[in-house]
Amino acid sequence: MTKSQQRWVFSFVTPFALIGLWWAYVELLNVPRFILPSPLVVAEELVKLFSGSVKHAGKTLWQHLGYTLSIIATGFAIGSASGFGLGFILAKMPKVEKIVSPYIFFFQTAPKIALAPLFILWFGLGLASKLVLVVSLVFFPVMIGTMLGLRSVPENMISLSRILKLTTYQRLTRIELPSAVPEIFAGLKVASVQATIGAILAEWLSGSIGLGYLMTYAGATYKSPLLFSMVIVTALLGILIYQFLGTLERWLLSWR
Amino acid sequence: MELVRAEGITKTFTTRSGGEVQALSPTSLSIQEGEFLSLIGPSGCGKSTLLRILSGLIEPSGGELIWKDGAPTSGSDVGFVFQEPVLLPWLSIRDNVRFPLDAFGVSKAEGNERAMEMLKLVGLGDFGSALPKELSGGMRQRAAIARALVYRPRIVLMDEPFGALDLLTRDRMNDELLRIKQEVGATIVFVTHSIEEAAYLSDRVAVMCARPGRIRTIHDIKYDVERGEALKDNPQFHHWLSVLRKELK
Ligand SMILES: Nc1ncnc2c1ncn2[C@@H]1O[C@H](COP(=O)(O)OP(=O)(O)OP(=O)(O)O)[C@@H](O)[C@H]1O
Ligand SMILES: [Mg+2]
Repeated sequence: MTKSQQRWVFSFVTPFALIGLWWAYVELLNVPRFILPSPLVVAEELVKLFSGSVKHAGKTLWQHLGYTLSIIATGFAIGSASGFGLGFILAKMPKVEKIVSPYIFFFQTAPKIALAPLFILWFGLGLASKLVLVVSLVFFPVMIGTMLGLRSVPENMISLSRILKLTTYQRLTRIELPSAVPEIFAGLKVASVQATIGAILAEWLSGSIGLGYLMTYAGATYKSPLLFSMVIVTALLGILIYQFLGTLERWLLSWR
Repeated sequence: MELVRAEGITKTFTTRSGGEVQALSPTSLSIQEGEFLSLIGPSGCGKSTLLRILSGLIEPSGGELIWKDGAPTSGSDVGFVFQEPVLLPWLSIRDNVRFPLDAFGVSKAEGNERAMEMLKLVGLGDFGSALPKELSGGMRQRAAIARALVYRPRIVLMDEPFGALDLLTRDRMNDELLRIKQEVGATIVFVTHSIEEAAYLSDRVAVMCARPGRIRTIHDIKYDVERGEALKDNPQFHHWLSVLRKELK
């Protein structure tokens, strides 16, 4: 098989084969709809959802999606900006890093998702606790990517900047930051997946709006087709966000 | 005319285990304007250390450098070519060569013009828009040389610039370097492991020896013929090769 044929198989044939298998399983074994709805039912549900003709929990899918996206975007922005900031400071000030790194390591390894209920206790059922969870998930990968990137600037490039007597600012903007972009982006990509998971989990735990809430709602009211649709929607959302960053990366790092 | 004089330069490194390594014992050297001076010697004899002191990258532990017009204050006074090209991989070849000019505040239009002129001089006129990864090792090193020459520094320091190249490419680069040097008339201090390279290119060769690092002798290399391919069959060239080889033993 050639490369392009392989790609074609992976992106079209495999999904359809899987859906076919799913459909056959449900139809042939007469699986009850609330345990596993057939792909046709789920497809119908998806069409209804995306056309905006049904409301669940008082809102259309687009409204739920918009809310979730706004949490992801805000949390991602705050988390990556502060992660970049602290990563930058730690990379530039080894002394500060020595002092704070044990604490950072502690918070980094703490399972943020398990802490989510605690965040709700501390920051309430509203927006704040959701943002805190997303920010805490985004922060660490971006911080570590920034530190790694700034630390791994080749020694000779630093020598070059000293030969040319670049100012600290010139060295930073013309050599260190561009050279750190690949590692920072690796952090951003991990963070984007984490942000999506975090936002949905936070909505799942509290509130009455968002894709995560819609999933608990579907589960609690035994709306299996809706639940399955939501699984697909959230997975697609994660893929889309990741792909978006991937495209941005390919464009920014085309020199690699 | 003397460009810079090193007077009793010493350098002692402190190793990580706390010990001290004397890389250079008091070393004096006078570098003439417009000359091509090579430093040769066994590994670890302090060639790179001396070169890095001249460049200002490291401070000597003792002694001083006396410059004709005062110590370099601007980055544009010194050019340095490393063993690897050290091009910025995210910039095109032209932008890499223009990079120092940008930092010195030269306008982009003038910078581009001068960068392209220099690229033509090193035989890369058609590769300005290529990325470093698209060039061969020899071409990249030529771009690095263009970057070091483009701002016409008072002195160009080269630390085994052709050490990573195969012999054929190296021979070609030597000829290019002779030609480039004639066209820009720069003062060049050149570190090499190759006796042939030193005898072929240099006006003077300083032979260094190790433990502790110091300059042993300095030879004025003069030929009755023009430098070029034919020189390599000339008895005078072979005379210098054997003199230098004996001294390195
Ligand atoms: N940063 C450093 N810290 C400690 N010791 C060093 C350092 N740099 C160089 N040295 C020591 O100084 C001595 C001279 O090193 P230098 O790099 O100048 O040698 P060189 O002549 O350039 O050798 P080569 O031909 O292998 O490049 C060596 O013994 C080396 O171990
Ligand atoms: Mg060396």
